Order: sequence, then structure tokens, then C-alpha cells
Amino acid sequence: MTPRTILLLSLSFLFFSIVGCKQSNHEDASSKKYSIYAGLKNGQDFLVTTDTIDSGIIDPEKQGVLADPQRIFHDLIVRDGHYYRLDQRTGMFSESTISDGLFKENKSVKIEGFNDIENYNWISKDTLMLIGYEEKSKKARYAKINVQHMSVVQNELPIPRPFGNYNWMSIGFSKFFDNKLFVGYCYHSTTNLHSYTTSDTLYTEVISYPEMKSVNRLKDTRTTYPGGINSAMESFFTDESGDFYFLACPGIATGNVPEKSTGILRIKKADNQIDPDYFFNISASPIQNHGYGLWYLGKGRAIVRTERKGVFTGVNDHWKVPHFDYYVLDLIKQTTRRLELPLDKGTRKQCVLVENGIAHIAINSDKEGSAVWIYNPENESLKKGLQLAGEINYFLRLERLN
Amino acid sequence: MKVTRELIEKYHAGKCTPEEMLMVEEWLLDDEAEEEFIAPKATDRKTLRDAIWEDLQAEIKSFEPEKTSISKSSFSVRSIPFWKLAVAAAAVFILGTFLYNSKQQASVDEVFVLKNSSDTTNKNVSESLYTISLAPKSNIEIDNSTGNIDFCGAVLINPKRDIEFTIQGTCAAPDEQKEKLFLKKGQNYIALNYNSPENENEMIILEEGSLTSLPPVVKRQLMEQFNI
Repeated sequence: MTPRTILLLSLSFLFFSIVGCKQSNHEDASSKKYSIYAGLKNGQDFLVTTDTIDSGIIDPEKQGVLADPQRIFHDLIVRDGHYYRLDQRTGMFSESTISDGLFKENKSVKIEGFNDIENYNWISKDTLMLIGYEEKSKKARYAKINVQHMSVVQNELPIPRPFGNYNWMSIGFSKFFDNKLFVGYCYHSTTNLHSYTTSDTLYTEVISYPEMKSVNRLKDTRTTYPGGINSAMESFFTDESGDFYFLACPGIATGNVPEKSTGILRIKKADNQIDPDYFFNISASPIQNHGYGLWYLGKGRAIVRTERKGVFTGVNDHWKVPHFDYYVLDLIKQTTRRLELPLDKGTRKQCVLVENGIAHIAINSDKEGSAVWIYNPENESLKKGLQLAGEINYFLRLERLN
Repeated sequence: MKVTRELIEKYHAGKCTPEEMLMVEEWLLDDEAEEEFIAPKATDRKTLRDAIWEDLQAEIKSFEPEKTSISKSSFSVRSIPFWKLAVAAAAVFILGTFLYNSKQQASVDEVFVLKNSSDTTNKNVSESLYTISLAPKSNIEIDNSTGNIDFCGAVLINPKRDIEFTIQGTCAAPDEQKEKLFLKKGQNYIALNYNSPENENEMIILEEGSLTSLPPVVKRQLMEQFNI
């Protein structure tokens, strides 16, 4: 046996040992309870799954898989071990899983004339409703997808297209009440990429379901830019009694009319109207800032994620600089309490997971590292749980996988 | 084999093998050849110019007496054999092409200027160091010797090799914002002058992967504009 043959055999052995090792690490990755998405300082994004987020250390690079393609942290819809997303360039809707140490696409379907998801809703275990605005045709559209068979039914959403000086629109929330679909939206005027503004009215279309016909249009001028892209960050919820709350976000990261207030509005289940007597003005509260993310804790309490003026300079560094605070809100008394957490970074993150009334908050701080923080509203305790090891730049998603 | 300065000198001295001669001539005539032109630093330029001028003056002085001695009648084309004329013409042609290309290369490489006055369409240009897509109503000036980019509007840059630039949004004055950025080969970078109610004349510079962190309306507009 020549030295070259020996070297080749040794390298082959080493290669298969490494591959074998990686596979055994990942063989049951898609059946774990939680999914984490992290952006590393070297620019690579990794997904890692785990059964516990209350304690321990996990290294996304060593124990996880490379996100493929990269930078999909705002696009994922996660359910029953699967990751769903729409490719904005191709309009292909796909299902992927983590298996054999890879983020693998299982199946996909092309959705014609649909290239951006602004909101999604699970209608049943296998049926997903996607809603988005398609700039080329200037239409808001919906697509109903059976994710088992990857069959699609799609059409224009019955809401008015941009009119007058408006040339764009955003859809910020979608909520099924009985046999009706409520869709929150607003309009924009854009000028040569350099700026845009948002209508001073926020709209909610009441649409009969499954007929998909508009039956009513609700308007409110107390604030604007209702909700946000819910695959990127949550900003609305339904409480125990079925009342629906949503955050309106006119700050520079979304509505770009900061003179309006960030605030919470309510649609009572019984009324099917935006409650004219309820407005939780976040900007005028002790928080004194704009916010973009809202999560329900239960028992009339919620968590809001708000920016901190003076720490960032503008849109250019909004996502890079740690400046986000988390506040616990009492929705009825309209009180606020800041959580003693390190300032968080990343403009939009799927970063709060509430289970059994306990909040798990994914924080990445340049000073104190990246970790899940656990907040118990019953005794107001706050402690560090699972920590991310490695050179983490952003802790972008924390969610239930199964 | 690479065309080196030594090889060119050998060529001019007539000491090249036929194979080497062919290679040098092909290189001289090839517009597409990858050349890495390193422009002298601005501070060195004056010294360099003075040195060249001094050399030239010396050459002219040494040439002057000879010039006066050449009479019109003694410089007759008829007295030169045809083959010598053909070689001279070929040499002039090759040298001319070489000088023309060098000049072009130098002017493109040193300062690159592009303006797009269209209302709707981008202007796309491929240079030796990068490709540029300039949005409507935008302009850009790149000084390759200093690595300074001045732009106004919106531009997408895709470098052909790793490169460092100092980017300045010229219409972002008066507080003259500058940002030094290391651009990686093959990646798309976007520079944009942006106005928000809280921060007028802001300069946004990001790698394509960070687009998703911008306000969704801006992200979608940039994706549409630059077809990414």
C-alpha cells in the first residue's frame, strides 16, 4: 500500500466519521419541541432544535443546521416539525424539515402572482391562509393552501386597491371571527425609494368567509399602520374572552409617521367594531417610545417590545444597535412595567414564546450574550434560561416546533 | 505564462522567441484582458508627474541637436526599404493600441462617474472592479485610487473582488456622513439616501441579506427596483 493510498483511506475514514457523527446528532431534530434561529457574527444563519429552553447551553453552529437559503428569519411559518415559507423571488411556497443534518425542502408549489406574505392564519391543521399585497398588480391577494397536498386556491382580497396619491399598501393583521375574516390594512405614498408615508387612517375590512365578500369597512384615525408581518413578529392576539387586540405601529420601522402614537386597539367579539372607547396609548405612557411587537401573557396582561430613542440614530442602525426594551402591560388598567432585561437588538424578531402563562424571551445583548429569559408574571420573577454558545450576533426566532 | 514588465522589455529589445512575441502582441491587442491597474496615490501623483516631466525634458534636450541636423531631403520615405516601413507601421499600430488601452484603463479605473437622469429605469454598468446598478434620478462617483464613493440617490454595487470603500451620500450634506465598508466579492450592497420624519438625509448602507431589517415598504421597493 502506497503512502498516498494510506492517506486517502485515512481521509475517507475521517470524512465518514464526521458525517456519521453529524447525522446521529440530528436524526430526531424535527421531533424536538422548540426551534431556534440564530444569526452568527460570521454572517451565517443556523437553525437548532431542542426539548428544553429553561436551562442549559446550546451551540447553533455545532448542534444545528445551516439555514438554506440564508436570511429566512422573517419568512418562516413553523408547525408540526415543518418550516413553511414563500420565496419572494420565485413565488414558490415550500415545506422543509431538518433531517440528516440539513435543512431540506420536502415539497413546494408555485403561487402565481403572489410573492410576499404579510399575514398568515391556520384555518385548520392542514390549511393555511396567506395574505399579501402584490405590487405589480396593485392588488391584495389571498392564497389558501392545503399543506398536505400542496394545493392552492387563490384570488384577490376584496379590499380597495391603493387610490389617489397612494401607490402602495400594507396588510398588518388577519383574524377569523366565526364566519368572518377581519383584515387590518393601511396605504402608503412612496417617493423614489427615498421616503414614504402612511395614511392617517387605519382600515379593517370585514369579509364574509368562505364567500370572501366584503361586508363592512371599519376606520380609525387615532393611529395608523395596524399590526405587522406576523411571520416576522407578532403584534396581535385574542384574549380568553375572544376579544381581539392589535398594536398599531406608526414608528419609523413600519408606518414612518412617528408623530402618531404607537397604541393598542381592540375589537370586541360581541361588537365586530373597533372599540371607540379603548385605546392604550403606548407612546404617551411612561414608555414614551414607539413599539412593534406584542404578545399575550394571559389574564389581561401582555408584553410589548419598544424602541429606545436616543440609543439608535435612525433606520440605518435600527436593527444593529441594542435598544429594545420589554414592558409588561396591564391591558385594562393601562399600566406599564419595564422588565429588567439587557437591551435587545434586531428590529423584528419572533422572540417571545408564552407557555402556560410563562414568557420565554429571546434576548441578544452585545454585553450579556444571547439567552432565553424566563418571566413569570405571577411572582414577577425573571431569570436566565437556555443560553446560546458561539459567536451569536442575532437571536432571531424562538418558537414551538411540535 | 504571464506578460510581465521584463517580457515587454525583452519584446522591445527584439529578444523574444516567436512564441513570446505572439503572446505579448495578443496581450496588447486584447481589450478584455484582466488587468489590475493600481493607480498611484493622490499624494504621489505630483512627484510622479514632476519626475516624468524632468525625464521628458532631458530627452527633448538630448534630441534637439539631432533634430536640427535632419534635413527634409535626407528623410525620404523612398530611401527606406518596404519591409522596414511595414515593421514600423505595425510597431506604431501595436504601440498606439497599447497606449490607447492603457489610457482608457487608467481613466475608467481612476475615477468612475455615472449619472442616471431617467425617471423609471436603472442604469447598469459593469466595470473591471465592480458592477453598478444605479437607480433613477441618482448619480455616483467612485475614486478607485482613494476608495471614496460619493453618491446621491440609490445604488447597488456588486464588487468583483474584496474591496474597501469609504461611502458618502453627497446629498446627505450638511453633516457629511461617511461610512467605511468592506465589501465582499460577489455580494450585493445597497447604498441609499433616505428621509424619515425624524432623520432627514440619512444614509443607509447594507448588504442584500440585511434588506429584511428595513421598513417592509422600503425593502419591497428596493427589491423591485434592483430586481433582487
